[in-house]
Amino acid sequence: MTDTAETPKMGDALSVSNLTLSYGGVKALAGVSVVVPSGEIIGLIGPNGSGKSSLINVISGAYRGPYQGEVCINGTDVHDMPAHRRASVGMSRIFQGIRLFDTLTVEQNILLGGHVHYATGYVASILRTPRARLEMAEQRERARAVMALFGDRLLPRADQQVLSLSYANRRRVEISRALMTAPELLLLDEPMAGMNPHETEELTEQLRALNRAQKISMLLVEHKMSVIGDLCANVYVLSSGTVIAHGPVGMIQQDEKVVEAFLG
Amino acid sequence: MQFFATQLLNGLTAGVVYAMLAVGYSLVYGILQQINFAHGYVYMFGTFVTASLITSGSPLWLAIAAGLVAGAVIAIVIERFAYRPVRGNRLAPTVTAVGVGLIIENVAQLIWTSRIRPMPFPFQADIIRLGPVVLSPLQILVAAVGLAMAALLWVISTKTDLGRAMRAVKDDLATAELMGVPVDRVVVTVYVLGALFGVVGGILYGAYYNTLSVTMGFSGTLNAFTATVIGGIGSVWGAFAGGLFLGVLQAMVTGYVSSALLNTVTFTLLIAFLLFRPTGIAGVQVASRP
Repeated sequence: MTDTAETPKMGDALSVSNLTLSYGGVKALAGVSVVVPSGEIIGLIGPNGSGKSSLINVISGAYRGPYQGEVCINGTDVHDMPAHRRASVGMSRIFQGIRLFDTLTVEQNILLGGHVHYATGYVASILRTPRARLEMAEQRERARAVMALFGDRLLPRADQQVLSLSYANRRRVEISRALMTAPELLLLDEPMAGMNPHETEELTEQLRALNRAQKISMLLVEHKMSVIGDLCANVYVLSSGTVIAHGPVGMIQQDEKVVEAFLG
Repeated sequence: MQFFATQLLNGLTAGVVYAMLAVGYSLVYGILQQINFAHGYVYMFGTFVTASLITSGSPLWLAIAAGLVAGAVIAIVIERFAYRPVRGNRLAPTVTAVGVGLIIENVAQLIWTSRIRPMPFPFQADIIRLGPVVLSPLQILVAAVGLAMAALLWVISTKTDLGRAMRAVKDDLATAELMGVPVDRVVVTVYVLGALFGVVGGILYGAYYNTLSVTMGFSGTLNAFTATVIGGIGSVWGAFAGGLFLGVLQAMVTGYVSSALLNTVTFTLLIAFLLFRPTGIAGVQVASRP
């Protein structure tokens, strides 16, 4: 299958329709359409500079400039929605280069992901009202539950500064922070980059478990085709800002346009 | 020894006031790397609101509350219309800050004139003798308020989701926003907190020195900014330390040398820190934006 568009349906976690984006006259994305059905992991591959990160940045709100087309998260058009409110419609992301808050501890970084769900205001928080303290205790409990998803990798290090962690653990903190937002859609921008084979295998299993147990839909940008093959039902291939193919991994790998795009 | 102890107490009292004002700078700078030059004018206006209400016979608590509200409202308006539209630009916020500060001073002159006026406040004439040391209940009040405000700041910084969000925004504003932190709300809250600390400092300043002038915004700005630089701009605890250090130093210069040298000593110190120790006592290293 090499269609470049797919009809969005009600219940899709993400639907991007005819997205066109230009940086100073250079088209980074040209009529891109991508759908992530609810509960599925969809891969997004392409050579460097093909527009993968631009697409992720538009969806997450990191890119604030003008674009044409429509981006819907869980059925909500997010065109005019500020980045911080996209978490409240069920979207979170991790970054190609890990971006943690370096002056905060592991637990504090993860707690920050829960900020979007705090019901008590700042004044109640400062006054430490019973409701605020209860909510804080519940959030800490949730943070510990999220850390527990990674076994003993993070829990014993909850009070450590994130700068003191290994690369893989920093990545786990970043994923945990995203999970604290209680996402229904997770954008993963090369989560396996910089990880050794053992860590890659472990994280692959953890992402699969999250998808199955918590029904979190995922858009996975990844260069390691073994990971894409292990996790993704379908994959989109971007090249020079356009979708040149999409479909099951096995079919994509045989597609002539895809082979040409990757091998030149 | 008695004279030294008295000057030390005077200096610490003035230092607490400077610290209150300096915190407003450091809170904002710590998050946005922007010097809020309008801060001095905001606390001046709030202090004048309080003084006017006390003079007109309002209860003290109401006058103080009204001053705090006035400071908070002005801070919100300034942040929304003078700072937010130019956030991220290095120069524009400085220009808008100075402009807004002058507007506030002009409005204050229209309302209260340029006349220097006393600040009516309880306890101003009382004296307590503790052995050789003479102090006033007002000094005890200033110290108590200073400690209470420092404790409040500690609670906010370390025990609340606001404090955590403030530190996250300071570390990486863009990522904080992408993780669901309402950055605009956090930033305006920081401005309001700075204004509240400033107005408290302004009221204590007016009460302690029993004098108010619409130009106090500028002089207070200079002293508080010096205290902020000494402490390490961006560090609220450094601002407290810098305020106390500057207050004691000025008291000693006034007592042992001459009050005519106050500005000379203050600005020599400011220049020396900027040249040789720009990170201040706290050694603040400001992270660069990704």
